[in-house]
This record gives sequence, C-alpha cells and structure tokens, in this order.
Amino acid sequence: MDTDRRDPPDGELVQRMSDGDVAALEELYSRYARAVYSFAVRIVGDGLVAEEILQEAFTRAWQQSGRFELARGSFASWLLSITHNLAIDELRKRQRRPQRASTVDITDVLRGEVDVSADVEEAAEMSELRARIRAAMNQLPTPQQRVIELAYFEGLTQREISATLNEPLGTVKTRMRLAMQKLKDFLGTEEGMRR
Amino acid sequence: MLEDDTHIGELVAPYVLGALEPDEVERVEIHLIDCVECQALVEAERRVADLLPFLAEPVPVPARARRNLLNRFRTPAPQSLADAVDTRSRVITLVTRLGWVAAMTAAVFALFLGWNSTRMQDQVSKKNSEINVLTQNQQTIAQFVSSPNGFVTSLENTGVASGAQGGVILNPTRNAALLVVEGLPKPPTGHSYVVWMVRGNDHVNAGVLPVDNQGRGTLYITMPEALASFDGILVTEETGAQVSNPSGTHMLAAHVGN
Repeated sequence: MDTDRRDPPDGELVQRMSDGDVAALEELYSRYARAVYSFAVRIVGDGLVAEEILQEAFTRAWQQSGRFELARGSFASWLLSITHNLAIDELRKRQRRPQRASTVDITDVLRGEVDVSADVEEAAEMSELRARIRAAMNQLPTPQQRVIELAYFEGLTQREISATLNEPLGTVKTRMRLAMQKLKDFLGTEEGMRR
Repeated sequence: MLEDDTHIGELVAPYVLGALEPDEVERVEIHLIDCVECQALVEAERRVADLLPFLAEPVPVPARARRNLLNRFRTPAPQSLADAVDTRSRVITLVTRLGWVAAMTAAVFALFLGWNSTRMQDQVSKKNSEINVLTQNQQTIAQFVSSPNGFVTSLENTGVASGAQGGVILNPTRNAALLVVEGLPKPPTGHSYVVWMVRGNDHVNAGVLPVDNQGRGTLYITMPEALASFDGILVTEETGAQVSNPSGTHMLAAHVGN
C-alpha cells in the first residue's frame, strides 16, 4: 500500500514518534485517524467502542514504533492491521458475553464535534485506495464478496462461515480462494499495489 | 498457487483473512518458517488484504478522540506539582468561603489532589507512553474552582463497594461538572458504571464512568440542560452503556441541590 508519498514521509514520522515526538504522532493521526476509525466502526458497529479502538491502535503504534520496519510494509498497513486485531478481538469478546443493551448510534457520537483536520489531512491516496478496492470487490460474484466480508469484517473462520451460510465447507474454501485470487489479479497490476 | 501436499496454497487466502482455525494457523506458520515460495504467496495475498479496510464507509472522527489520545502522551509541565499545591489551596479557600460544604468534601479532594500529584511525579520520570489524563483534570479543576459560582460535593458510598469514594466539582457558569472516584472495582465484563443526573424521579444518562485497574475514574459531564436544575448525581453498575434508566446496583450518590 503506497501511502508514504507525503512530506514528511510516514517513515520519518514513525522514527520521530519512536524518539518521543508527540507532534509526529499527531501528524500521523491526522493522516490516518479517519481510516482507522471508519474501519473500526465497520467491524464493531459501535461508535464509542470504535473510538476506544482508535485510541488504542495509535497508542500501540506509539509504543511499538521502535519495532516498525518500513521495508516490511507501509505504516498504514501496519496501523490498520493493529486496528483489525483489536476490533476482531472486541467482536469475539462480545460473543462470549451478553450483548450491550444497544449499540451507539454514530450520530450520537458525532453530535458534539467532528475532527475536521482528520478529514482534511487524509491523503488523496487513501481515497484512491478506497475507490480501487471497491471497484475490485464489485467484480466478484456476491457469494464470494460475502465470504470475504464474513471472514475479514466479522472475524469468522471458514467453518463458522460454512455454518452461517449453511453451505458446505468446501464451497466456502473455494469461494474464498477464488475471491482472493480475483482481487489479486484485479489489483495486482496497478501501480498502487507497490509499497 | 502451490496446490500439492508439500505446500499450503489452499490455506493462504484464509490465513491472511484470519479465517483459519488455530491448528491450521499453527500448521501454516510452521510451514512458512522455511518455505520461501509460500512466504511469497502469503506476501502477495496480504497486499490484497491490506486494502480491505478501505471498503469501510468513511466516518467523521469525533474531535474528542484526538484530545484524549494526545493527553495520554503529553508530558506534564515541571510546575505541575506547584500548581497542584496551589490548586489544593484554592479548593480549600473555596470550601471555606462557601461554608456549606462538609469537611468530608475537602478531604476527598485533598486525597484526589495528593493522588494526582503522586501520579504526576511518576509520570515526569516515565516515558511519554503513560496516560496523562490527570493533567487535564488538574487544569479542569483549577478552572472549575476559580469560578466564583463553582462548588464541590462528595459522593456518598452506598455500601456496595466498601472502598469507593469520590467527589464532584460543579461549575454552573460553564454548565459542566467533573466527577472523580477512586476505590471502585472494575465492573464485570459486559458491565459499565453509568453516571446519572437525577431530578426527582427522572434520571438522565450522563455517560459511562471509565475505571482503571486501580479503581480510579474521572468523567467530565456536560449536559444540554442546566446542571443546576438537577438535585443529585448517581453512579450505577449497568449491563449496558446506553440504558435510559438506572436498573442496576447503586454504587455512589451525591446531592447537588441547594
């Protein structure tokens, strides 16, 4: 994922963050808070929980910034991977305990103030990535889209997906493999796939 | 795609999507240790998976999330301890001037400020990764108590959590309040402490009181209605954060009317 074309580059900001520079953290927050928050909302469906995940993701990025290696992937991928783990963990915790009385309407969360700078600073590349992955997903047959969504956004294993959809496990495995192959083919030749 | 039994081709897609069972994950990760071909496959599919977060519909970020995050990392100013002492003096002066506030109130806030000072001493010596909500609270307290109309009151323990204590600072001018507690056990999984503004038999949900592992918590309360129109504050343990009426255990309560 190429999201490191801005000045200063993400890698430099991560380095500064590992040296304790809070301004670098804030710059990275301005760049990626919206992507992280939107992703967390998509998974947990709860604005307040997503807000906690947003803060925890950046806290972990701060704490682990000394171990981040740009050569192994972009900061955005790393941060969103942290977010994914946190959000799926939260979903699984909920499956083991009673559900909350109700989820929070996102409009309640946003009734007060919106972080305008997080919107403004979001890179144009992020919008491009959004458009590209959506276009790629739209190429897939609906059943293939569904297994990707159930696995990635709902944290289900292939067996759980099979049970949820009441489809044979082999069918789920095939759909998942074909879906990822098609996405890779669709996206693989595009410039944006480079890191 | 590597399909034969000596590789893990079939498992790569579910692996990067997190859709394997634990035993399958173990099998994949053992195989990846020394299979360069499968490492490359995983890397290629992970690049696709890295783009999936962008399928989420963009949502505006609440501004408070930035403030809360940055407050975790900002080092307290060196003069914080002096400020704390000064704030303590101002609280006591205010308490004396108001007259009607019980001595218990001063004790609660002296305890809070002492705790606050100790925490800040620790934070100064630690790396910036420690949560620094207290500095904000201290500044908030200073702003609150400097208001000629502000007042403080203690939270009464209902006896459920024997060590719990706390207080509330109200500032009618800003129509805001700061609730501070300590000694409150973390709620059981799936439960939350909810703060209610009470007016007669009516209860208005003022928010969830976050409590850390040391049993400490603070909540900044703002309401669309005048805080002065309420006559009490109640903290209950509820099974959900968004309940509209208290149905759980009453933990702490305060009278805030005249």
